[in-house]
Amino acid sequence: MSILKVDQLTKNYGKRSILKEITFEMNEGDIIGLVGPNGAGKSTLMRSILALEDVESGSVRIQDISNQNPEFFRYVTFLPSDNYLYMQLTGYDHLAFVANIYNLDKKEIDEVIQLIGIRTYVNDPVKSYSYGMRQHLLIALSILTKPLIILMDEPFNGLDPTSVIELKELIRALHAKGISLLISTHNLDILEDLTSTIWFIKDGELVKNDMLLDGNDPFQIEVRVPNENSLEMLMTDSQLPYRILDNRIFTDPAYELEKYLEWLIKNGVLIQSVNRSKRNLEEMYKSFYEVNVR
Amino acid sequence: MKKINAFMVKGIIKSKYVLWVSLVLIVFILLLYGINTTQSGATKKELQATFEKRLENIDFLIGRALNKKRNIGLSEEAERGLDSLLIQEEYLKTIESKLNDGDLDISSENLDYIKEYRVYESYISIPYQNKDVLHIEQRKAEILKKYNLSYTEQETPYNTALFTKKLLQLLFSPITAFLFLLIFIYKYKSDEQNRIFDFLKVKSLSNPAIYYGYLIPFLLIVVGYIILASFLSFLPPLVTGNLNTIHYPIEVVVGADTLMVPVWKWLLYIPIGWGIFVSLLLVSAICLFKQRFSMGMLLTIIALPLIMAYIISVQFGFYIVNPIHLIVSYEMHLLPMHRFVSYLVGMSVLLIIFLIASYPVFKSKGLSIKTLALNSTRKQYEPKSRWKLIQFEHLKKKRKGHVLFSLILLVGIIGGTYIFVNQQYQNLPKTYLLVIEEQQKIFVEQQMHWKVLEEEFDMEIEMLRADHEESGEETEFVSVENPYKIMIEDMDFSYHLLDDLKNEIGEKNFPEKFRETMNTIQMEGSYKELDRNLWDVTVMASEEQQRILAEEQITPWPIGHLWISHFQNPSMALDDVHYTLLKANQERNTKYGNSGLFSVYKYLNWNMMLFVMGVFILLLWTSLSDERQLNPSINFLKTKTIPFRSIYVSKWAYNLMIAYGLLVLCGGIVFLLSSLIGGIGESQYPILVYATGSYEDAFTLELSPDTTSNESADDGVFYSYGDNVNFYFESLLILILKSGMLIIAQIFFLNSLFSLVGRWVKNHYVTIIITLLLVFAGYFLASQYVSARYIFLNPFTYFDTWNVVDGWKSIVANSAAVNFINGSIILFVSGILLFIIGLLSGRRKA
Repeated sequence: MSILKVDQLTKNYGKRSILKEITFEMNEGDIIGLVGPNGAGKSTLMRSILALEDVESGSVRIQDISNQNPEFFRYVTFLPSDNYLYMQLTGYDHLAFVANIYNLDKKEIDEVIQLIGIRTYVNDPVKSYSYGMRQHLLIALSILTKPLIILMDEPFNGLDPTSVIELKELIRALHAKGISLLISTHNLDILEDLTSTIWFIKDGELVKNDMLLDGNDPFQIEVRVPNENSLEMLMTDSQLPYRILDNRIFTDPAYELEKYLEWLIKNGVLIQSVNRSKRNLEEMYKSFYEVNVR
Repeated sequence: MKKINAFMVKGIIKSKYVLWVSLVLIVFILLLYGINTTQSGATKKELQATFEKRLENIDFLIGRALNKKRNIGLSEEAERGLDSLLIQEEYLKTIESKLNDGDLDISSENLDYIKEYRVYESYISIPYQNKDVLHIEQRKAEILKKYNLSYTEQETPYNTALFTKKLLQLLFSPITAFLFLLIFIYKYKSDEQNRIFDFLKVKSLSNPAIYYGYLIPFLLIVVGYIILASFLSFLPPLVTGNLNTIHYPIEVVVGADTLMVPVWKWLLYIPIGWGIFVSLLLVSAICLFKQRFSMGMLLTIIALPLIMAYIISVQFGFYIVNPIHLIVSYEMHLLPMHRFVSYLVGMSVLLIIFLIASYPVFKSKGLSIKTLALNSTRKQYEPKSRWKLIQFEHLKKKRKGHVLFSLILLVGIIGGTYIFVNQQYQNLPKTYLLVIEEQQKIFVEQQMHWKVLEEEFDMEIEMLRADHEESGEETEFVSVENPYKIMIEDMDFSYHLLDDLKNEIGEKNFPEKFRETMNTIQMEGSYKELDRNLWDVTVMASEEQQRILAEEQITPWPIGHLWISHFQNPSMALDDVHYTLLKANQERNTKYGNSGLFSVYKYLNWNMMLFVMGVFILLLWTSLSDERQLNPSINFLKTKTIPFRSIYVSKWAYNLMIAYGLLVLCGGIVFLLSSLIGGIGESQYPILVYATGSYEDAFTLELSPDTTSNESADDGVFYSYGDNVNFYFESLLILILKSGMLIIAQIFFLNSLFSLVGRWVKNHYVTIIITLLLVFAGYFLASQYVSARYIFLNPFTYFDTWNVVDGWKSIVANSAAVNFINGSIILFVSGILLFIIGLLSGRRKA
């Protein structure tokens, strides 16, 4: 069931377009990974969803409540990448304030403290916290109000391996409770571990990974050639769409495999193997953002 | 313990603050030196004026004596008197010439002159000097001669030990003592937070070792500061070769006596007394911290006995066991005698007792009071369901320590004003003595003139008799009594009345006796008997005020009987001579008091609220810009179910609540304490209020110059022809209430301005700077263009609280529209407008 609807969200910084008519829906229980290089607009998208940024056009609604309405935040919480906590206040002060705003009782605060495991330092001022401790407090704050959706902007940044494992477990637990999560991160391995739904953001547009992964995965034809340049020239002449990586030719699913094989055999290329390609997220990222690793 | 000492001392020495403190001290001393160098010369001018006056008197007497000699001849004794006058003239001319050359080394000549004057006095002659003042002068000159010193600047010294004394009084003042305590508290708290004590405890160190180890370096810092500040303060006289000025005599009034006390006593007493006092504070603080008292509780526990000690010193005088005299009220009681040595020894013993008594406190483990109620900084936040955002704002400010700090500053400003007012009141005996001696001086001079006239009258009678004897006519007028005789006798009577009065200084009902005596002496007629053009506000208001006071049976405030109007303020002087006259008149008639209401009156009169509002802006108030830096905590609030405008409103409302709350709390505490010391005061005391000409139209009072005096007086409103202004009297309480209302409006307006600036500016400090600049600019415009037509619309015009409520602002602005009611309305309306602009321009933008 769709809970969050983002429609035609457009955001510019001067003449530069950051978000171009972004439209999507999030369903109950979704875990969506949002990836993209620095400056691609991941944080801007999240901040625009939360109305922390002024947008040129578009709307964001949750259960028909616009993000311009403070009630929106009854259903959505945010775990930001930058520190927005009050340094002089204790963790408990933050929790108590939020609980007061949402009319929650002390018992619910205690449950969250117990769940996240922050009891030992919850009464210390935030300024004495390590980065990981602050992230834990932010998570506690974002789950305290029992939201439908949590937006997490770079939640794994700066966490030690133990904390990463704990956070991953927590995300799974939240997911199990039916909470939807939109997680932006640079850590592709962690994301792959959590979800198969990955959205890429590039040039202000959102590209969903199912467009790249599902069904018609391309074939990869492993060949043996003296140098990649001659293969490149050969494939250019074929007039077939292709991509070459480490002596492997990736076909376009729209074209038949036979046509590729026929052209290669005709030109005397030694074919070593033919496999259906199931690319991992990193490969997908590399190919999508045209990352050349030397 | 030694290791901890070394550890702490190392940290302190490496701290950049040590260098900063030294630099600040040097800059401060250089600055004061520079200022005093440019402003010095007052003593020289004073001496020149004194000796010129004497020379004038002598010339007058010599002229008359020569005239007499020419006409009827002089007796042998009168001849000797004339010779003496001529010798005195010579001395005075030498002194005058030295002074004109800028040489103040005149003690030898002055002593010779005084000696000659005493010879002159022994003849049947006309005295022209107040013998008591001369006696003091003689003692001072003797000391100066003994130590080979010249007269030096007393008000603005710069290269003598008097400059050192001034510096020490500033550097070792009660303010620096409490500053030291605050620094210690801050350091202790941050070390506790950084778990320094836990670190030391795991090193198997005992509690006494840790706490003494922590305390001793701080006591060493106190010693270090004393040595450094004293050394730097001694540099100016040392470098300029004026170190012998430590023997310079300072006049200290004890009862009716003026004693000469050498400067070195201050130079010795101030640093030692201050050092013992600060050490006592530090030992108490660390003991209380060990017992886990919160900062608020600690400050209360320390402040209470100090306040009590101060009250005791004010109410019951000097007690050798009262440690408050280490920093205040020591001049009169300790320095003239050598009692200060035994007092300092006694206080050192007290410090040792404190140090010994702290041992069981440090050693104890079970004694620790760990009550949560006393530990507010760590007290868990338990929100109430009402005013959630305002509660949160308060929590943020409280956790930052800004509420407590503001409270301390406010108590400091309000309490400081009260202490200053009270100290002035404590100095009344000295002021009384100066006023009496000044009056006696006037009598002596007047008497001198009458005596000369008396002699001239006798001479003329003598000459007429001689003429008549020569012509053989009858001389009926031989028996005519000299009319000046009675005047001289009156003057003599008054002089002795003042002499008797002087001996009673310090007695409980002295102010009453002083008033009675002064009234007997200065019996002047009513202003109504004068020409109308001479009816100035000062003369009229003083008389009318005295009348009301008598009618209402209210005890007048000491000291002068005149109520100096703004028209006779020294700032209205036409030239230097006029300024001196007005200044002297103002000083003679300054009012003193120690009651609660009198302190409030002075607080408002000095516009101390401007400082309080400065504290609000700089420290206490919050705005949206506060949420944007250093970290964007605004997003924390905006991602909750909180309407953005609620954040704006809650901050605005919190600022108002905390400002009003703290003001009432601090003002209330100080008022209560001051009332305990000096009583509440006379709420119905009549205070002069000015009104413009158009005031009469506004209030339909018949005040035109044609319907003068009695008619207008019936309405309680008077017209001064001299100053061309209306005035009336309002009770002190009413004016205080009006000021209170205006202050409420000022805070309201200022808060709206601050909130609006904070709405548009991203940086909190920039918000503070812009708000302060706007206030300065607005206030400057309001003062500079005060007579502009629409100046009454400028809200900053009404920041001059007392001048608005006593009507003076309307006189300066020449507009009846500048008044308390309009001021309150304009401040509130502008405040509401600014608030609405801020509220409507609110968008959900980070």
